[in-house]
Amino acid sequence: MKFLHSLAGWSWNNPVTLKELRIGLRERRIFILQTVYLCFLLLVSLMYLPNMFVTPNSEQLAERGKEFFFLLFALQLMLLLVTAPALTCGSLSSERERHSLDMVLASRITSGQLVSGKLGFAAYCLILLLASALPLASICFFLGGVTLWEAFACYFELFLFGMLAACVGLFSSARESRSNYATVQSYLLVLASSFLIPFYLALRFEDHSSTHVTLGPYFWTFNQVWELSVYHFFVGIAGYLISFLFVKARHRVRPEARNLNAMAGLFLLLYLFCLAWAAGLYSLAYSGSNHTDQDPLAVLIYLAHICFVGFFLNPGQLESRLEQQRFRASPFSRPLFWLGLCVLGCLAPMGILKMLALKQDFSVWNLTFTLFFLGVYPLSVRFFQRAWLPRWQFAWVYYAGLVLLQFFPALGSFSAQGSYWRMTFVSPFSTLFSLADWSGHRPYNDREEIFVLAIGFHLLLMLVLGAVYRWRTRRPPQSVA
Amino acid sequence: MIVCQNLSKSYGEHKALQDLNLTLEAGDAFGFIGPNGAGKSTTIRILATLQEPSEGEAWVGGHSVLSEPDAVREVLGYMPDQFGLYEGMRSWEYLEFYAAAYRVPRQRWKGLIDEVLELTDLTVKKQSFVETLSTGMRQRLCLAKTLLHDPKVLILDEPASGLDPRARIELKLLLKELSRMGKTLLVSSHILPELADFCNKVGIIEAGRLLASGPVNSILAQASRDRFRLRIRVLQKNQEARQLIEKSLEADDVAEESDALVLSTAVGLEGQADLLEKLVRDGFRPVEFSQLKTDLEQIFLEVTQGITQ
Repeated sequence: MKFLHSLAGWSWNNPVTLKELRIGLRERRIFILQTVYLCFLLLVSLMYLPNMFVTPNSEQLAERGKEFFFLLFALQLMLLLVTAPALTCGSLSSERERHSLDMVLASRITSGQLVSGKLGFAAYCLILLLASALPLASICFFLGGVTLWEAFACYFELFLFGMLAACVGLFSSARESRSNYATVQSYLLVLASSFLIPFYLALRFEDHSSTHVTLGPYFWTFNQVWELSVYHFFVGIAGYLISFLFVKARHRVRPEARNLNAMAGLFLLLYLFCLAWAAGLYSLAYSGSNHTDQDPLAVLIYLAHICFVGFFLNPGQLESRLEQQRFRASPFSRPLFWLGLCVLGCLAPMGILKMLALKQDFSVWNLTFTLFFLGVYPLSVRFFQRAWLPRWQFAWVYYAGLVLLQFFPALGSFSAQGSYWRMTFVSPFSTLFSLADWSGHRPYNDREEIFVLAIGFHLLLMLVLGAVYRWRTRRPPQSVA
Repeated sequence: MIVCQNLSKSYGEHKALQDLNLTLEAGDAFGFIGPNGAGKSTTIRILATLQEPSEGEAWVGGHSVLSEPDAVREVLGYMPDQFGLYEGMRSWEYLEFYAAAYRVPRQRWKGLIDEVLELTDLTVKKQSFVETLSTGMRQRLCLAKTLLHDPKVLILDEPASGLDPRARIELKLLLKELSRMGKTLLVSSHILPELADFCNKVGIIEAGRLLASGPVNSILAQASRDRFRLRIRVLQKNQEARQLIEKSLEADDVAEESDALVLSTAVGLEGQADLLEKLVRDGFRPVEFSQLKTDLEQIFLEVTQGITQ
């Protein structure tokens, strides 16, 4: 009952949502937004529709219906990415500007209720926009080519990505005290992410069995395991990012230990989701064969790595004495916990392969060096932070530099036949894995030599950084009286 | 009802509040006085659970602001110095939002909203949009939302700032009424005479330190026990009279206020009577010779040194 009460307070019974709806729907902003949104869709549809019915062949007609549906999908996706941040980017910063946030925070509204209330308003507006465009999209149902399940999946995804963009706006709004800054920041973030959309819409993957698998909503048929699994992966990642930004925004409103714990818990959930996803993918796609693919494993190891380095670079810092005590009491505040997680992150994929009785060529070398690097990277970054620049932003830049160093050997992973995108580039550890034999690529014959060189480089780097730290923190000799 | 124990707050090197100790009983009306940047708002924000002290502890209504912030918010009504209302909402909708925010049962909303609107004399503005209200009405609406959940403790930060004289008088009457109803009031203000009207306790803070605190009467008595403030007006020979007064009363801070001399002296009643006799005898023709009451402003000036942080 307590959970239900809490859920109601966060969702349908949230006073903040009701207040936002009262104010928002009285303004002309939403009406203008909806009109522009629909007019744009209508304009593009009118340009497309005359050519649609000239094909006599029913199969081609269905094909045209599918094209039209996914054209609308792509358009709506881009429009939502533009409109959704506008719904939230001023929500919390404007409260700060008009000095009303303190009164809300001094009431019994929790920070979670406040943030979910603002997000709830954005969700209602998104549903309004998507629902109002449904009649236009339903034209394709006359033509065929799109099943109800496909339409539902696409609309769900549109809503999810819209919510993700709204969460970016909300996070910026929680972070900044001025609405102008929040707006610029959220649009820059969305714009930077939008460069990935064309890749996402027409993503092409090839697996090693040389069967061409085409991914991206335009080509989706939802009949193939690959397509479904990638859809689930993107939905899962979007869900994670929404939750993460939500908790981050909540933490900005009122810093609490429970938010740090929630963020760490979300990392764990994401990791478990990826494990389950990879296990499901392997068991469905490759059961019966002895073929393995390194990409999902690389994703898992990459994520585990991010958890670890992320914790080391940006450990929980709370102003509040009580909240500090609370965070210290949780296992998430302990480096050993994250070290254990990283070891698990390396071992679990191998466990999956073993469980599924698939071929694996995991040498002890690979494991040892991967574990070694898992320790060396964050330590190196911490050394750098202490020795040179204490600001975490610079530490991240330094970390990015380390990753880039690993990028060069990864260049050898490009296939001679075609330079298709591979997960090997996302992490130095996946690069190490790519150098192993089981991917089929073997650009370097003496991989042990590379490992030794890399270890030597890192040890030297840490020695230098340690020396600099000692030199910078040295105390002047005390004069003897 | 409010207890502060060694309350301190630092922002890096800067100490905004240092070892503040304060105890208020139920029904007390406490006037919190201090120059800008003295630490009044910091103290108030800590008590309203908006900030956490760097050191020390505070309790409101028996609940710790550190470990039981939600329980504190339940018994506390807070009105900040600067506040904004949500434009696009009617007065009753604004109050309804805060009734929900304070988790008042839904069936009580209507009755409570009518009650607080009546108390703040805003019944006629129930259906009005908040952006159409005057500054004084907005102030009263904010006070109405503060009273919605019937808090035992009211913390008001500069409630009279920006109000015209009429609105100030109305607000003062309202605060008197609330004090009479048994609420514990903590009011910070720059307008000291108004505080003296309805506060039974005052505290003077400067540079993060509480310099004086206690019942108004005892502070006034303590301040006027050793020194007298006199107002003397003579019809002729002002300059000569001034010299005589300065010499007789050993006063060096004689000020002229509209043809009269205002001064502070430690000389007792006998000495003052002697002076009056001498003034008459020497032909100065005094028309006014009175003792001024020591007020909060005077105490404030005496206690503080004008230090700003």
